Amino acid sequence: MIDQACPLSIILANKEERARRQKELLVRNSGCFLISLSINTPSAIKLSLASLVIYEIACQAIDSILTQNGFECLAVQEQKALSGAEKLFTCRGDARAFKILTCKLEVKHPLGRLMDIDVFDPTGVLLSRTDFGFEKRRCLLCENEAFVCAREQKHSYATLNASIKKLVWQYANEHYIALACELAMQTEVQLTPKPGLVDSNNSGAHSDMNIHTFYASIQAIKPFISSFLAAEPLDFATLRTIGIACEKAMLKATHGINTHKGMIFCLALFCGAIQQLQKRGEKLTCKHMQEQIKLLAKNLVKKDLIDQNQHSAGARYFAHSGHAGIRQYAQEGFMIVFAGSVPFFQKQSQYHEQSHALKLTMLWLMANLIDTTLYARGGDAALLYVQQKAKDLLTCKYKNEKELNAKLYEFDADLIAKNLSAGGSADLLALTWLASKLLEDETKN
Amino acid sequence: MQQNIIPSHAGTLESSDLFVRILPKKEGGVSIELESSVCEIYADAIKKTVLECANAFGADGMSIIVQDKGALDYVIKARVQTALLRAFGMNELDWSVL
Repeated sequence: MIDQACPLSIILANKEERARRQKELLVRNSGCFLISLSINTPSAIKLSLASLVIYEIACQAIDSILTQNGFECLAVQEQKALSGAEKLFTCRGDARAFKILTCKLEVKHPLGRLMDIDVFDPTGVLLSRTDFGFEKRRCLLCENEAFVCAREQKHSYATLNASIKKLVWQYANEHYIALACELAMQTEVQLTPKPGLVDSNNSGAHSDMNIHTFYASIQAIKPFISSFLAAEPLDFATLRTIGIACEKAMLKATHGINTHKGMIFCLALFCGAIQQLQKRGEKLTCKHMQEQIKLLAKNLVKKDLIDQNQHSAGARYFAHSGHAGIRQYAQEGFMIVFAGSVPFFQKQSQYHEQSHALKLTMLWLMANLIDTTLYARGGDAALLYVQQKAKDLLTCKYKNEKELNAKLYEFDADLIAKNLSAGGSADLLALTWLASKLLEDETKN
Repeated sequence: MQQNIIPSHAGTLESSDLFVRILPKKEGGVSIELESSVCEIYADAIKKTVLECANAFGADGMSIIVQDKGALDYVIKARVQTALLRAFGMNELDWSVL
């Protein structure tokens, strides 16, 4: 849903529907006032990473204004759709006093200019900032009144959105990255069908987890992103210590099921590299990321698998074949992602919808990755089988996503019957999405 | 043209939107009442857009009351057209009219 244009008819219908719900809530909750939060989003793209970050920060700010000033919030209604993120708060207290506090927030908060906080008093009157001595909103880019610039379409959507992204990136950097990580994991698990893997249709070749286990796991991991980004001293040992704590939180949330162990490993290195590049003021490009991760994971295979006796699937496969699985990919700076799956995904995205492009990228990863989770379940034969089958599916021509899905459902049934699951490919698929969202954004600016 | 006009409305009072109300009136013709946050500069342009929409529908004997919150032209058109459809009790849009 992220970064997709919303048709005008849906935007307009959604506004009417919101107005209807506002009225309904006011009638149903006599004496209460209503807060209607939405985000300023020039252009038809209403749901973007930047707008979601602003939305989350606005929600937190409104919550703290409510609690700190003794307002009682009776109910909230939230909606995240193609038409944007929005929330309605039904509250008790002095609506006018609350409006003044939100006007101050809109003026003072670095991202306040991008928040639209409408307040309706109990009689349904929309309170206006000018009634309280606040001046009309200024344009994001120049000193004119916002209304005038918007009506004249004085600035291009590209310029406006670039400046919004820059603001959010600057003032809410960690939040932005953490949200991108969360959405990357969500996007991966929700992609359906995924052969042998947990998706919204089934649990694949897993009897101990389902999509909700993944959702719980994602929520447990999210708070650790800022720790990875702040790792000090920034080296592999520090990242691993945080990673182990993160893993514990994951296992607690999933009642002992390993949903994202490999993913946490990838995220730790990814965030570590981001921290390093940002400190140096260097651009977040695929090339730079690859170099930084290479440095962070230097000698990892030797340290982990040769000098120490590990008992993971990766270690067993290394003893058997000499390929060190995910550690080797990390040591190469995730070249397979930054110089492989990311360009592949970006190219596919030019021709296909995001979900279609992601499914092809998943097949690309399954075909190219030495996935030790497959080896763990079925030895060399399993690994080769999945690689070959993915290669075959990738060379087929599909008229549309539906045809591709039909093949993927067959492959899914096949892998479930064989009890095989390409967990490594799933992790790197999430990493691919994350890299193409975060890094692409940077290069565009 | 004899038309049965149902009092109707479309849109909202949010910024960058507009709230359009249509009421039947006994005298013929179309009257437009406008209140806008960008009135000083755009009143004439907005009235013109609204009138063009009404004429395209062959509207007669109605007041169109517009509260504009800085909407762009295509939003104004969409909202007025929707209000007109509702006023005429039409569900389907006759694209040739527009």
